[in-house]
Amino acid sequence: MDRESIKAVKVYSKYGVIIFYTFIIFSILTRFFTRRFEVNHGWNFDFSCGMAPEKIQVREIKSEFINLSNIDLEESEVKEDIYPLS
Amino acid sequence: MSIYILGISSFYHDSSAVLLKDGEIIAAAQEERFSREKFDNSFPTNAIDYCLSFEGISISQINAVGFYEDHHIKFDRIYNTFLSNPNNFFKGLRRLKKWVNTKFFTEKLLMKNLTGYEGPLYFSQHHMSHAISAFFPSPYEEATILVIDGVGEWSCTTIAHGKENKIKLIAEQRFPHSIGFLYSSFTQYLGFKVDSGEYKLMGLAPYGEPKFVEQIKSNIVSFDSKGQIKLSLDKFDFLNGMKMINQKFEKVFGRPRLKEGEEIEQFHMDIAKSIQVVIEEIIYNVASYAVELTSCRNLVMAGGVALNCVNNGKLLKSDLIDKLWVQPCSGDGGGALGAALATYASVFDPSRKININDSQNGSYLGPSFSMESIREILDAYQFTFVEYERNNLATELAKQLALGKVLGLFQGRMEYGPRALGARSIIADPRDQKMQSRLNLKIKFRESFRPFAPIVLKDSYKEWFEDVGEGSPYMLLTTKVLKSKLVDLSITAKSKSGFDKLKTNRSHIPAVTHVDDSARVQTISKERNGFVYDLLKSFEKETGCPILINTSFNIRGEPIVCNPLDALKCFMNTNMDILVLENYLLIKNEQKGQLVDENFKDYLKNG
Repeated sequence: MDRESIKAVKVYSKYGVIIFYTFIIFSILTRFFTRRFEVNHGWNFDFSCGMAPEKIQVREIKSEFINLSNIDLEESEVKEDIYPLS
Repeated sequence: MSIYILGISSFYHDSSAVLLKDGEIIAAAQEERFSREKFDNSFPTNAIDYCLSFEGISISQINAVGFYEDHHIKFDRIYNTFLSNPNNFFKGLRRLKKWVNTKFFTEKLLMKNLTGYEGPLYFSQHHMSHAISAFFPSPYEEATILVIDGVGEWSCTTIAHGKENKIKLIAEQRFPHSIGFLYSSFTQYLGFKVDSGEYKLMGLAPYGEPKFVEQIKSNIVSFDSKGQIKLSLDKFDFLNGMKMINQKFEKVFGRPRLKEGEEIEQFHMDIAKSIQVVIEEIIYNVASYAVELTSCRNLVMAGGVALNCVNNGKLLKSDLIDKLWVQPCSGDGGGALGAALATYASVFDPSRKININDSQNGSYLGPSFSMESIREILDAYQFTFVEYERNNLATELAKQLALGKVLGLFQGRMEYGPRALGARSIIADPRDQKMQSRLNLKIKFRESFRPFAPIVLKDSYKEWFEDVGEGSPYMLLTTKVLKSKLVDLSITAKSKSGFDKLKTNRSHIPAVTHVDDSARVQTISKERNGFVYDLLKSFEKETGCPILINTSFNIRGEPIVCNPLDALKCFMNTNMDILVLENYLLIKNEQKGQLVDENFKDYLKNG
């Protein structure tokens, strides 16, 4: 589960917004130079890039990002549709 | 002591809640029915309240809560999509930050809303939820499982294998190469709303010819014999999150997308037919590869694309499979069921009870209302009504239906899923050719081209329709009206095109025979829905026809009615003639205009 995406949120949680943006810009540059943004198609046999189990299994998620837990989650924000990426 | 599991799907679209008791599905409902907001994506507070009140328990008695997807894995997809598309950097970044600040903390959102619950929260994966919702309630001991929708976390199409109480995911096709998004893109191109207008696209297809199939295959999507698809991403806009398609997509067909209110022409019908043909070919190839991998010819399906009943009917008739079962609540609403079943199987008890008729209980899993509570409402609004004995009611209704009256039927537990299956239905006579346009324009207030579905006695459906195996209790299969029930069309009638085809009397049941002689059949058995069975029997006795029209009890843009007051409002604001609320019968002409909304008065005058 420890992919770049999760690292980004850990950075956000620990160091705040500015470092978070810096991390993202760095990630984009890394991708650009390594040309890692080819989207593959066809059948894959590692589910969700290896993050999901192959059999019936549920996960109990603990609160990993304590610094973000004080964010006020307004219902109106959640309801806003950011289709289709949401 | 019983184990209670609450399954939840929410925060995307079509929120819902499901309650399991010792692994058995005892209550389920979509939030939209209570909030009256179609495809409501908010936390399903009302649906949960209903589930708990059905069993008479409080939230503190729930042993575990299961959520239908894993938001951390989903975030991985959102993050990587953003990184791969840096051309909309600032807009993308704002969206990303918003997502991090809200949906990334789904566990917090859930706990905030589940006041009084202190147990564990479990997270399934989107396609695992769909897969288990398709396989566990199915009547099969072993099955090939296909999940096809827009996108879950990363998966867009998943092949799995279910055997006894185990499911193994075998292969997936990932975002952005999605069959669901392909179909939704054409939905948008034809001016319908994405995530809700797909039915309209499907209903429009039979009016057209598949003239654009090759254009679609060479410019929009390529695929092989294993159903591996590759979208031409430069024609789509959804990677940037703004809309489904862009101008390059429109240029392929030489015309801009249809805007709301613009007239549908033959060109649009041909596009609808062409994408339907392409989708069927892709899904056939996917199913073929899936069966090859699992060596099992029982197929179960879930995911939004599984609601394409035309495709389902063709799959069943193909040489690929022997049996087909589709989860009646196939969209994201059904994710709650999968989450609950996954939690129960994974944490509590992996055993699975197989019911030969399936374990979905006819999908009658929503709320019902007592005669006393209905009577209170009728009295409060001073409605005029007659109370019938149950046995006599079916006979009386059959007589009225034979006279051309349109009936609102509200009885028993509400359906879980998008289809009205006789508990919250509008019922009418299918023998009247004008009934289709009357229902569309005067009662449902929707597009005139949309077809209606027949309900038919399971015992006699083969006398009217082509074989669909063990029947179609959930209205998820399309088949053909038998040739013996069709009318020989004149040359003039055969030469009609577009919506003019509607004006042709093409069978003995023209109101439910689509322009390609197809029908989306629901078969009714006494065990599953006794009252509708009796009604069909009485209608058959009255007219010789064991078939009625069944359409959802709502008007365009509104969710299906949930409670008696919703039903009364819908009844009074449309040109329906009769309403049945359990054993109470109301005649429109005998009412005094109670609950009439000013906005609908013009419609009523034109009735």
